[in-house]
Amino acid sequence: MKILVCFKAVPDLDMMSDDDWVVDCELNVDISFVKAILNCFDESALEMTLKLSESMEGFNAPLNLTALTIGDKRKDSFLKTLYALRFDKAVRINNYEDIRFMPEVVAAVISKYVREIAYQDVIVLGRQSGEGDNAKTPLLLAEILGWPCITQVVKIELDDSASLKVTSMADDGILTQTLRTPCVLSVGNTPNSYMRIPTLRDKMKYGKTPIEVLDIESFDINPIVNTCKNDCELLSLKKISNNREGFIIDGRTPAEKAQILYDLYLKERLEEL
Amino acid sequence: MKYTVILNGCSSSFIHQAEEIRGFLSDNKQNPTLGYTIIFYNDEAKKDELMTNSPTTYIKLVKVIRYQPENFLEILEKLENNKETSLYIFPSDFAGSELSVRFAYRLLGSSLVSVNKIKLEKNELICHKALYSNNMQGEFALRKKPYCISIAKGFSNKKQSLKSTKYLVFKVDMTDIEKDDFIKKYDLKKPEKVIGLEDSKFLLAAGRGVRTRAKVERLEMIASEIGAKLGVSRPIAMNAWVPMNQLIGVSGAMTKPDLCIAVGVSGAAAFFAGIEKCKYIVAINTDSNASIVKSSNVAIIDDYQSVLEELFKIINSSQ
Repeated sequence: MKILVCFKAVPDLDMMSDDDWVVDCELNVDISFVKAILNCFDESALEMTLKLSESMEGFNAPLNLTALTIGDKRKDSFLKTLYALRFDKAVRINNYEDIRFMPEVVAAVISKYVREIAYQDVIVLGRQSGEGDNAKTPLLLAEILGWPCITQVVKIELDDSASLKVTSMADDGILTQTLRTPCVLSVGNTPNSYMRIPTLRDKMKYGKTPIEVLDIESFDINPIVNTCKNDCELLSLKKISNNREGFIIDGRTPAEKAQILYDLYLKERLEEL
Repeated sequence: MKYTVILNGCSSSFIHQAEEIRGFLSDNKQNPTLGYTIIFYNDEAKKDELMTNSPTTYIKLVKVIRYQPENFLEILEKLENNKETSLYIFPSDFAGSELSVRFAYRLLGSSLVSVNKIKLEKNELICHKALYSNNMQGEFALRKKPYCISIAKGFSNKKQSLKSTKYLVFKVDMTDIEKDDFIKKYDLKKPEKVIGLEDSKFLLAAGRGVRTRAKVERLEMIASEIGAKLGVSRPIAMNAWVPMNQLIGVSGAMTKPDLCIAVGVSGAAAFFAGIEKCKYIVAINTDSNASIVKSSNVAIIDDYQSVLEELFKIINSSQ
């Protein structure tokens, strides 16, 4: 079974201070100084797939794992780590265009990769990622390919060579379905899914495997970019301010501070609850 | 101009879906507009309740076997191919977000997820939504009809009155639609523990600063003793120290308690969105530069454990 995991490296926005949120005339925010991290849902998707692969060791049902990202050369470090974690192939689609709010472009590129370059049985990807927060890519990808889509996936197990047992969070509870492939799996909030760290030995042995780099221009994205710009145009971008009074209680000991908090700010409020 | 609301009446969250859509419509009145609601349902006994709670006067009822997105989309395509509706509004839940995007694709329209404000113009729909993990607010123009949006969480307002008159435009049985033959086995289990953070009046919120499972368990105990509910930030939930339905924030519960005590919480925007509507926020944190301090009404800069244990003693002795 061939599985493609698509991921995005995103800026660690928790490191931004209030003053860092400056919007330029092209509605960009400078995040170049913030370190890149794996989008949390994509990280879960990668770890979930590694767990699936691990669970199949010893079975006569080979799993072929490909990781794909769209971005510039700086994303290669993530792909090298994935090679070290025993992904079979790591692909980067080189891009410098601003596609933050164009999930249609991302979905079109991935679908073209699957249709024209390397067919896959399953595509796994996080449900949304910071910056754009579009939450549309897996859904659009399923629509373009005409495949079913399972959202809020939290666990993937193998059923047989052409089907998977997929657990997902639904509005009414926990849904477990056995599905025929092909399908798109959109990963949601998944406990215990921080991505593992490769051993130094595997880093040395596999981390230098060449990354397959493709140019986004070869995916003929210009017509879609133009459509996106018109159909869903970003007009303005403003910082959300959450500031309140932020009054700091002074006191010598935790006990004294707790007493002031209770007497002056909590007592009445607790009585009213 | 005609708009249509799509609700999943097969779900136990139907009342909540209807409430939040009423809240959204009330905050975003457009003139002149004529609204319809398509309600999917699978239980004849619940029809009256579904109709009573409909956010619009005109209702279309569609009978299905159960919620299944591929089937819902196929049905919507069949029912709504007349191009009469300019705007489709879906609730904020998982189903609403999914259906809005996929339905727009099928109808060659445009979509946006988690929209918190709209203004309908002649040739475009102006939408506002949170971006950059809730740090920024973006304003978009959708220009391809039909506009399909799912609303942001947090519009539920139980105080709204229901319109008494309802008209059933049509009722149709679509239980024969079967676009889900890729599913070999299906099993839906209800969650074991319903937390109800959204309705809690008093919340104890724990963040990354609470470093161990044992400390989280202690907070569970304190919360239960002082009449609060425990919610957590993403790092705690990711460690599986509490069930995922205790997660607060954009991908979890959007709460609106009267009082929230946030301990060891940094105040990342994606988390803060989940307590933003809280009337009064108390932050206890060792770091005076943590953004939760600026976002709180009152703060204590100290070790949360020492302060909370003292506070627990005081509250206990006063009860």
